[in-house]
Amino acid sequence: MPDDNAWENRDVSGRLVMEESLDDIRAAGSDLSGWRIWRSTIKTFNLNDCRFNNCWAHESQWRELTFDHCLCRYGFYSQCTFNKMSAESSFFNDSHFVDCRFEGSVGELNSFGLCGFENCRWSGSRLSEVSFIGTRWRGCLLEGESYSFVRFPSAVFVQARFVDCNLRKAIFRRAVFVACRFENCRLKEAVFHNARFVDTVFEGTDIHEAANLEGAEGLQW
Amino acid sequence: MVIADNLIFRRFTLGFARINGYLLAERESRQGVFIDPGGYNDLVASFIEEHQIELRHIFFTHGHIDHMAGLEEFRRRYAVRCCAGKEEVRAASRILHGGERIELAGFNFTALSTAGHTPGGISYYCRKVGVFTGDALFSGSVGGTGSALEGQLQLEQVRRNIFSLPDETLVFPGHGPLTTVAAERYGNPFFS
Repeated sequence: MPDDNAWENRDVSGRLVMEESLDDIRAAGSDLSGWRIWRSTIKTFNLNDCRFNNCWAHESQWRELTFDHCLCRYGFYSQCTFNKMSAESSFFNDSHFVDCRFEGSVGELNSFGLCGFENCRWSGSRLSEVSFIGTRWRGCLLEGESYSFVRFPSAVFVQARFVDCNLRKAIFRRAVFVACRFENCRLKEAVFHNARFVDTVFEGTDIHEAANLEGAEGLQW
Repeated sequence: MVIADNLIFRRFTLGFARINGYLLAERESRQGVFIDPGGYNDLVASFIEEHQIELRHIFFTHGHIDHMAGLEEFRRRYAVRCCAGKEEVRAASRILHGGERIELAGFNFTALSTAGHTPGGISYYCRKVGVFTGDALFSGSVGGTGSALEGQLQLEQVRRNIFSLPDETLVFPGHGPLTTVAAERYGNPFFS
């Protein structure tokens, strides 16, 4: 009997998912680009070697979402919750996230380059070697995040709060922080080379833990 | 990763330096190339066997040991032809200077000179896939060089040969996360 939830080398692009619940989808080598998702719940969604480009999602819940070697570029997601997302060797570049929640994510060697995050909340993530190069963050909360070699070069943070984060070896080279707060964060071996700080506060956070502050401007001691 | 419909693609973490090695194969002919054999492990072996890949080529971005430590194991197991820049890899039977075309089962690669990190550093560009930069370009960074002049040369070569590629081109570096030409051109602080 065919397994309707196992999609191998299939073109399932352009699908509309409206007030639906999808559960236990396993896709390999398939094209899921152009999906439009509205007020839906998607649970246990495993994408391996798939395209998931140009997706649009609003007011949707994603649980146990797994991306392995996937292209997920040019997406727009608003009021979505991503719970226990796992991603490896995948591209999420040039996507935009508004009022989204990322809870308990794990990731390695992914790229979120040039993405935008507005009023988003990341909590409890464990990320290693993930690139957020050139990203824009406005009004975001990053809480209980744990990073290793996560890269934010040339990122711009406006009114962002980092709370109880372990930003070990995070790279903020040439990043800009405007009206941001670091609260009870660990910055051991983090890099802020040529970073710029405007009205940014460090509370319970020792900026001197950083390995490189050369060229950093606007730090308030 | 379904970058192209007829492509089998995989990134592997290899060797003592945990470099990125990449396997590409054409889906019908199963002919493939491995880029930077920094090690050989069970994951590589089982992937090649499971997908019945006939490994034909090894491309080296440069000749540092962390990018070629698995070479002997690859050569022992597969009849591969090695391509590398001048004076980078002794086992190379095809020496590249930049500008050469290499055709592999419908995938046309162009060798791009990205000297600096090493004198004969080469990046490999395939329009359908992306560009494999080795240590010439990382996400938000570049590989180290032995002198300021070599560093300057590396930046010039990346600007000329990598940043001239289309914005949406995927970049597969030798270490660290994947990226794109646009993200690096606009966000890499070493090119500001």
